[in-house]
Amino acid sequence: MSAELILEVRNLYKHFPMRQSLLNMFRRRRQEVVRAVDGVSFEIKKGEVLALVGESGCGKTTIARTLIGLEKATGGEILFKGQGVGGDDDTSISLKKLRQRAQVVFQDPYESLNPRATIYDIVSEPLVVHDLIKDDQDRHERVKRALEEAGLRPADDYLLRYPHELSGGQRQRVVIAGAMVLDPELLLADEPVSMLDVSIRAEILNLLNALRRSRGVSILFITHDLGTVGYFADRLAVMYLGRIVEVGPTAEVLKNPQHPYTKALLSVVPAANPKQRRKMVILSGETPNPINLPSGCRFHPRCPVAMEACRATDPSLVELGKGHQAACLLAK
Amino acid sequence: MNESSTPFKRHLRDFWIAFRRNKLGLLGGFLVLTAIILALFAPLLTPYQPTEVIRDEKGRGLTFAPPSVHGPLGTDDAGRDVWTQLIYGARISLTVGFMAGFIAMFVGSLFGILAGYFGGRVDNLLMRITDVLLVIPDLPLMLVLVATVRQMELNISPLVVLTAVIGLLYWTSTARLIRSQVLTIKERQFVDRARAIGAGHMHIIRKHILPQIMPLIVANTVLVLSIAILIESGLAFLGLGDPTKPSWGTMLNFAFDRSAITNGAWWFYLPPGLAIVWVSLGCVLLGNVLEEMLNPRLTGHHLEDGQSMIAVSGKRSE
Repeated sequence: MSAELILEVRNLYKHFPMRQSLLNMFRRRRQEVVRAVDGVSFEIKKGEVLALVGESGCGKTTIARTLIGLEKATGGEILFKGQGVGGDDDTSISLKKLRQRAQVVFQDPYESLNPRATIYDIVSEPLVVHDLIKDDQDRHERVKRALEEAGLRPADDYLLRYPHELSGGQRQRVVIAGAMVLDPELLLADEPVSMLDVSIRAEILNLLNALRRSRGVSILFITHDLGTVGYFADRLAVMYLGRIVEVGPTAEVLKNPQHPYTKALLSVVPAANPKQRRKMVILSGETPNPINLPSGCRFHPRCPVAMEACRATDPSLVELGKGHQAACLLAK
Repeated sequence: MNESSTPFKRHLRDFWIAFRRNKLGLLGGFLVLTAIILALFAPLLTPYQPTEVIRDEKGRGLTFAPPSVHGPLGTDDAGRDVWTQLIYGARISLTVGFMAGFIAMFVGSLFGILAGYFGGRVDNLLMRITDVLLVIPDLPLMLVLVATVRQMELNISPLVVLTAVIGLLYWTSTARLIRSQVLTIKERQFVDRARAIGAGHMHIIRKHILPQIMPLIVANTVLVLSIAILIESGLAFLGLGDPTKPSWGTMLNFAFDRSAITNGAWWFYLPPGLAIVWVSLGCVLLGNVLEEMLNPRLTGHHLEDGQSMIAVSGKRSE
């Protein structure tokens, strides 16, 4: 376990202030905030795939956006290879440098490509922005290689096309090619397959897996679908309302889930064998509003095994062995 | 689809195919184009100079000669050929109108892009300036400005003053239009992607914002041109043009001052008036059609192009 740490996140907070009415300002009401990310810590090692799973609205995407500097963190630390980002001291790296070493794959391949740019423009953009390859011929070669590596062969057929001429899967390959053209060390994949047709998902996941193998890139794989996680994630982190409630090696968490929320999520993943009977845990109620969080454990209003103590105590992550941690009073 | 053609050519061809279907747009294009051609080839289309006095056999100036006596459009009070003045005047009117229109477009786009893209304080500042200009009545302000600058005797051609004043005052609606469009574009994910890649503001504006609003700018420019030409005519009619280089507005001013109407010399005042209508109508028709085709607000095709444009607009008509 001595592998190099690519990314370390310590106690990350991201609160979005609500628009306050003038009346409330006069009444000196406390400003309301949406606690999108509320104290999250995790790390990613070199070449590792960490899956971040949770319902929509639990703060997964906000984490990715904060990591790459699209949102400013309210609190906490983000260390890239042990270095802070954007600080004044000598040990930190600039945001621009970080954006060269870490790349994002967004969820919606229909929205994340400029409709008026050719595929060549899109894939070569990172090279142009960072002013890396001056020679046009070299840049051309590099773009072609990235496209072919992303499975768009022959690359020459795609260079001068526009995004609307491609299918969703092809577009997502273009996005991945654009992200990999800089040879980054970290890929933040924000639900890269959830907008795609089921038949294409496996292809894109295979592609990401192959890139991890060949390039040794670390991946933060954000998804709401536990079904795709077991496929290639090394470790799994389950998020609920801005917190990580359970984290550990994928196989271990899937086989032996400790947090009731993880259990509920797992119980509703469709099984490959339709005859296999399982007990589904259907959670009652809605996800609480991230403005007014429940007291104690934030999961207790929906938890099937909640106790009296859960109302009062907010559990933190407890080590259960082999790096498996869960934030539940019942976890042992 | 023809693979050998470049994307740009393909766009242009698709655009032309869509444009050709619209009769009003074609008419507008025709009106504008004829005016430009007449202005460009003015020296070839008349044997006279605009200031030249036409004389009869006895050497007397041929004043207020109706079209039946001289040329296609007769002569004015000083015996100058009206047709010649008209096509030379087109040069002045169109130049001032186009230059002023482009300045207005440039300033308006710049304000709109900066305000929309940077938001916050920049937006507030720029939009308050816009608001102030928006509420001051245009024509009186321009009159005062042009007259004041003239008083200063700076030895600038009156036409330059006219162009600058119109251009620097008539960009407010453009700025608002562009700003609102930029606001929607900058929230789109490909802008986020560019930021996440590490692109700077200039790069994002140039490569991601500008290409999306360019069609809108083009359509709006044509509309602003017609207004600039109208305003130029108005100011020139009020005597703020250059008397040595008469535009259509100046011609109307002369006709009015020298009692062409009481003399029944319709050939003196009707042609410049109709010419103004001709060009501004052409610009408006062309601009409206271009706007309809290119403005995402009016078509709902969300800045897409090609096939998707047809598909979505088809859905809307259901």
